[in-house]
Amino acid sequence: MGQTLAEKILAEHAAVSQVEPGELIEATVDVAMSHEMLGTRVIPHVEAAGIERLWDPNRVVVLLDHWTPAPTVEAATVHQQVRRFVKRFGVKHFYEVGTGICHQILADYGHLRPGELLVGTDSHTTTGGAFGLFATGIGATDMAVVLATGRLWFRVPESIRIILSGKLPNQVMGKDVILHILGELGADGASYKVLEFQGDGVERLSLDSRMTITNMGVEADAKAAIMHVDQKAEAYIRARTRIPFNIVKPDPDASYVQTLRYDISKLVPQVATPSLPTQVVPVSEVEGTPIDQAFLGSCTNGRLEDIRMAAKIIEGKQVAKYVRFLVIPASRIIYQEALREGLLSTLLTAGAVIGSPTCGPCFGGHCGLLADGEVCISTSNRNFLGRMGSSGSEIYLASPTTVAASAITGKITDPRKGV
Amino acid sequence: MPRREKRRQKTSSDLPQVPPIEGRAWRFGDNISTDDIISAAHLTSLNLDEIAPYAFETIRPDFAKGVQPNDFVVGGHAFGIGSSRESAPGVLRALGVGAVLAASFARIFFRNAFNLGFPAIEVPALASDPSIIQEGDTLTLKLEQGLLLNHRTQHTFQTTKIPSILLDYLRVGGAIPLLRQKLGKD
Repeated sequence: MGQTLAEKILAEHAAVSQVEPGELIEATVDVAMSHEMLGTRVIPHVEAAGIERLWDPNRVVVLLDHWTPAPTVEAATVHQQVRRFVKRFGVKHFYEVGTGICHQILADYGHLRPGELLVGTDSHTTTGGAFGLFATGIGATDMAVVLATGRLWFRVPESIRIILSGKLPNQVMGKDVILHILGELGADGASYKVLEFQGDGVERLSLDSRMTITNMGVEADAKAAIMHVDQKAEAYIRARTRIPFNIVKPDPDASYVQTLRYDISKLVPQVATPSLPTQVVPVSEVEGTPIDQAFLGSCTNGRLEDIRMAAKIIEGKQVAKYVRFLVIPASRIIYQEALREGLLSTLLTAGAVIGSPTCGPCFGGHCGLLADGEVCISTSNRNFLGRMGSSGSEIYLASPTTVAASAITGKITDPRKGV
Repeated sequence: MPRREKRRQKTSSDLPQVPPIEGRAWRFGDNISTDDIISAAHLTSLNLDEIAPYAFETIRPDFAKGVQPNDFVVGGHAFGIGSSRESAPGVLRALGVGAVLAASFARIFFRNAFNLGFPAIEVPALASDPSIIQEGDTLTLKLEQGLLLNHRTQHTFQTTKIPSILLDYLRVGGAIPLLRQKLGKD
């Protein structure tokens, strides 16, 4: 019987010819990524297990992104623990404060390679699937097991096939595609399953938009979200790594538990309403809702396309009175490119606040929290109660164009209407 | 590595069984997120016991103070959605919670719980009728047998079968003791 993309990758990593959904396998990991969670929760497990060396320090990527630069002594201590670990165990790939958000760093520095199996101590590790690999989030104990052995058990997931067709209308972005899909799947619609994206609609999407889509697959509880690799994706990867890789394609007779088809050329801007990323409505249903903060950034939408689209909308205009518009590029490379293109200058002139790369506000860590009763429209990925600060605040999730348009008017605004 | 090969790998039947757990139910709804369980504001702490008093601080501020050893956290669909933070099951375990019962679990929370030797048990009957367990009900979970008794109603419910590898984690207190054994540390 034919195999899906996920099944092929897992079978290869379990050194068997075929795997079936529901089967438990032990697979060899290609890349293991960790951030501050290494310092807080993985190191105690490493010590408890008596791990003296890593299975392969060349395959380990460690970085700091959540509390950067450290806003408290406690966070600085966590960073210190991480650096000590990296030196002690000879971790080859370490990225300091300011390099970027983990999922963007993996892309920027060539750690995302088709056909590979990548694990990270961050639920949004699914992002990497935009480049045709099986990338999934794990917890601290699983990371300790991987660091020691390079292997981890997996339940082979069923796959849901999502076929995208058409070309996105103006001002509608990858974020709208995934929000719309999440609204249909629900918070556990892809639980223990993989989302496999195919179709001409995927090929027409920018790589930035593709990463936004795979990033948020986890909001339907997907274990991984994988896209077919086209020439555009392949060229991007080859420019960043010399490590050889194999582009894996699913068999034509592969079996999927569900097939969903979307003509994205008819899509309108989408908004996730408080307090679930899967509680999604067309922007028209929440238009006019007053906001206190607009945030553009995070591993979901802090990429160059996002900043470009926002800058284009806000050029020559001003952020609304009593509203703050935070813009945080997802990595130093993106920051520099946005600087070179003059985008940051456009945003600053309009009254935006530019931050250095960090996850900060998205998870309520630091750099732009919300007070009781405040409302934020955000390009990030989660709007759970109290996620960005006070439990009395509310978060709406939307695309960079919707967020930029809303920053100008001070209320939720359809970016397709000139502001 | 002759020394390690000689070591006899323990099999499931050698391991001590998990005894029945009896406690009261704390009732929660659907889509409880890891942010609800423990906010990111506390995640730079290196000590789980220190942050455990903040469990459910937003949605159930009386929980951490009132919970007794072996009490159950009972959720609905998609319990534990969101982040990969192992601190979410970690703080519940630190407070002495006996198990989390739910209609369904988010994938990473489920794995993290078992990795810590903390049971996250699916009760399919909760999916069709959330009222089978109410706030304050006394429950007995026999997880080796896959049975849950509600003392108030005297109904017994089946729980979803736990894969044997995960049952072993519960028997020995998590994945780390087994890793130690694998690395030849014990």
